[in-house]
Amino acid sequence: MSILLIEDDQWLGECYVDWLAKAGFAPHWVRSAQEALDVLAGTSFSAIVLDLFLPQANGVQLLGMLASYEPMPIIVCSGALPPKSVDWRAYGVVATLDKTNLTRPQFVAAIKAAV
Amino acid sequence: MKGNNKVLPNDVLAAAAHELKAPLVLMRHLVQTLDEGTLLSATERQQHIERLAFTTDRMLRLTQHLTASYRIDHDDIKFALEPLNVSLLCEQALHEISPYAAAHGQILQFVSKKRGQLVLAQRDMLHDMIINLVDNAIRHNGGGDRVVVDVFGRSNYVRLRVHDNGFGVPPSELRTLKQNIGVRPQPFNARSGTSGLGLYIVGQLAQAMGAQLGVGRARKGATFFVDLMRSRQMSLL
Repeated sequence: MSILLIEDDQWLGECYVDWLAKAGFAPHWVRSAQEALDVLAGTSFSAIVLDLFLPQANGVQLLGMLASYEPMPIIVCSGALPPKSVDWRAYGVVATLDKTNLTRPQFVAAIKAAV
Repeated sequence: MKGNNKVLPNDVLAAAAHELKAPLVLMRHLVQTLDEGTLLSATERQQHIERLAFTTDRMLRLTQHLTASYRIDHDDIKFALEPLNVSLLCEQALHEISPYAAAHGQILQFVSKKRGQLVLAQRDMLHDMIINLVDNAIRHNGGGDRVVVDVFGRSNYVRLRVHDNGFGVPPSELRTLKQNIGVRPQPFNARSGTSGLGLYIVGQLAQAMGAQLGVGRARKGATFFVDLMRSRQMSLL
């Protein structure tokens, strides 16, 4: 199952790619919202893992843009999640992960549950 | 100039917390992965250890620079500016940070048409400023692979410029960045998840030396520069 990982930090991105690959997923990693949109124009994924702080358009803006794409489960993975009052489900978000407390088993479990 | 650009302490505190969080998250992930042991090859294990070391060094550097920035703003420190060869200091700083750049897959390049440009500065502050600007470029060079530092003289100042070839600063945010650069940490969504703390520190150091931090336009990537006071010592020799 292919997973689109959107994470701008190089070493964190490589870490999550490693976690995904070793859990049996096929990760496709991009580092910006625009790269994500470019990839999504021609490919669909089993799920999207999305960081919120991104260069150019940020993750929340990207969530709005994704509304016009084929629906895919989205997992927000951020070190600074906005207030819980945000209605993530309206954006197609099935899970939110707080990077500051995240472990590899939790990360993998959340993606398995999403797909 | 001291006290003219007072920033709400909470702004800097929030920026520092944000800036330290990302490397701490990375370190936590790396330690967890190392702890699992069997999932890693020997090469991966070595790479994780190197990244832990680089990240620790970077965090220590950041806290040292934060302390220096605080002291500039709050203590009545007297320091003397001296004529310094900015090209030489650039080369030394780039040599120092090149292993960190290489670990990020980034090439560092130094360009100076005229070597031996003398500026009036404080050695440690100028060094910290260069390191911060290059570190900033390395970390926010998504989509790019090169950081170029160049130095060129004008009549009254010498411009030290750091340019990357990554995503750059969105035009819509360039104006805000120009207004806030070096004066206060920028909004968290301004550039690639950064709080702008590194640039704020550079701005503090620059101001203390009578220099000026700025952001330039670039067709690709981002350009930041510092205009340093030119030393006239050479013309007297």
